[in-house]
Amino acid sequence: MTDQNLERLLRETLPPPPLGDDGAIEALLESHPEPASPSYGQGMLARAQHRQDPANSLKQLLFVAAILVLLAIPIAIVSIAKLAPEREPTAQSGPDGDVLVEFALDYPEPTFFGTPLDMDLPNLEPARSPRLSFTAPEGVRLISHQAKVTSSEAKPFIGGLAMVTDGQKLGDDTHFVELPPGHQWIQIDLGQRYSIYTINIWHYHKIKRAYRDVVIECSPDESFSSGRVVVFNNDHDNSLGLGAGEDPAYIETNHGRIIDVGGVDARYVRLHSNGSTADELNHYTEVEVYGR
Amino acid sequence: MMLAALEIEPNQPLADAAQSPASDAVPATAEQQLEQIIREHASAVRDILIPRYRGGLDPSDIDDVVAVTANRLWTHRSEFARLRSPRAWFVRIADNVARDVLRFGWQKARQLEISAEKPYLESFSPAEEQESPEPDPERARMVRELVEQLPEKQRKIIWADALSRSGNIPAEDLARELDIPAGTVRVYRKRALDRLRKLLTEHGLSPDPLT
Repeated sequence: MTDQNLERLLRETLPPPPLGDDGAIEALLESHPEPASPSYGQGMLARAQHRQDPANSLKQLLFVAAILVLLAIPIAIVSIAKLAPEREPTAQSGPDGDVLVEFALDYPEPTFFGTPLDMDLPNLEPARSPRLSFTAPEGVRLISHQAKVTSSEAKPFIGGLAMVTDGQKLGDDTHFVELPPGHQWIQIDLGQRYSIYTINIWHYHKIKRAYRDVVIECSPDESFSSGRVVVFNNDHDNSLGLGAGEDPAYIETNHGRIIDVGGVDARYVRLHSNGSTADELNHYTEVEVYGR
Repeated sequence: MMLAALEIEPNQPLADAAQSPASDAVPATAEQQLEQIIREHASAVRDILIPRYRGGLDPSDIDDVVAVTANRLWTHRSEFARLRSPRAWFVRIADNVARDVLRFGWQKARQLEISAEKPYLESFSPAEEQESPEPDPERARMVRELVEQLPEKQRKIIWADALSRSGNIPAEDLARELDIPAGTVRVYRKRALDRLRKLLTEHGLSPDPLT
């Protein structure tokens, strides 16, 4: 069946049949002589009149103006706060003598939507308070912004691979890349070798779900044939064939997941997944790599 | 304002032909007439629309459709005097609103509610509705049930396209209504059609009766 034929079938079957002439409609109304609820419809006329009363329009304008003024106050406060100097990282002493700096991440608004589905993952971690910051040696910075991203699938279903490192972490329907079902990976080229300390990852977090077989590996070699270091692995049954891992599966939220790497020397970061508890597809909203 | 464009004043007496046969007391003004129509028939209109749009609009959507219809009726209350059957007009406009919502989304349907320039009597043509042949009810019911299995946004795209009189609704228009990128609309449309094709085949509603 071609798309055209299917669309024609839908045009012929989905729209309701014609109402007919006034007589047919009268007959239809006669078949519903008693109101299901005597109060149904009350207030509709009042609303209709209210909308068209010029005095009400003026009242609505004044009301909207008052709301705008009230909204402007917090927006102005937030804007002033953003203009203020960025918060200084908190310095601590590391065990190896490095000065450790605390990084507080910038998180998107939560966007949970829909009814959560049952999660059938045996290694799913229990609910816990989100980890909101990490510490890393002084001099560490975000090194993945606008970095080149490639993937196991050259043509994503939705979005583009550049979205992975564009700094947008929102959980809505416009800031993620969707890869085909099954095992897929993306790979970030940092441009040169770095000591990588932390990787932060946001899959699709609008709907409650946990991604399966999340494996993250780093390597100085583009093909990952040498110097490969696995820094996170929750593929508990080795279904990807990259080795079984003991890290827990976790539910996606706007806080993403902070993964401590500890100074791995690498240029490339590869992130695997194998669908989620919601569907077979693979999604990435943002990945941040911190190093020096 | 709209009131200035009316042909008669809201409290102008109406022609006898506009009176509802169901009423005992004779309404004197357009306002009273409209109040009576809504009081007596809003619930029946709701009951008529729910099965007609099952799978596309749920009962709470139909409540909103009836409310939007009341607004349209009020906007065009000057035309009551010319109506042979105001309550049939109520049903027709409600049916049009339901179609508008499915075709263009709530945002556009509400805009139509307040910006319709020509009278609704002229904008609606029963002959136009007769263009599409009446479908086999059982077949239509099964297709609707299968469409109901699609995710919400895919379902809305399919309904909008099915009610469009001039090919598929532009992806950009649907993107605005559904708050997703136009590219995503195209992907969802393709997925929905692929899924429906599979479901129709599984339920024996294929094989290609239209080629």
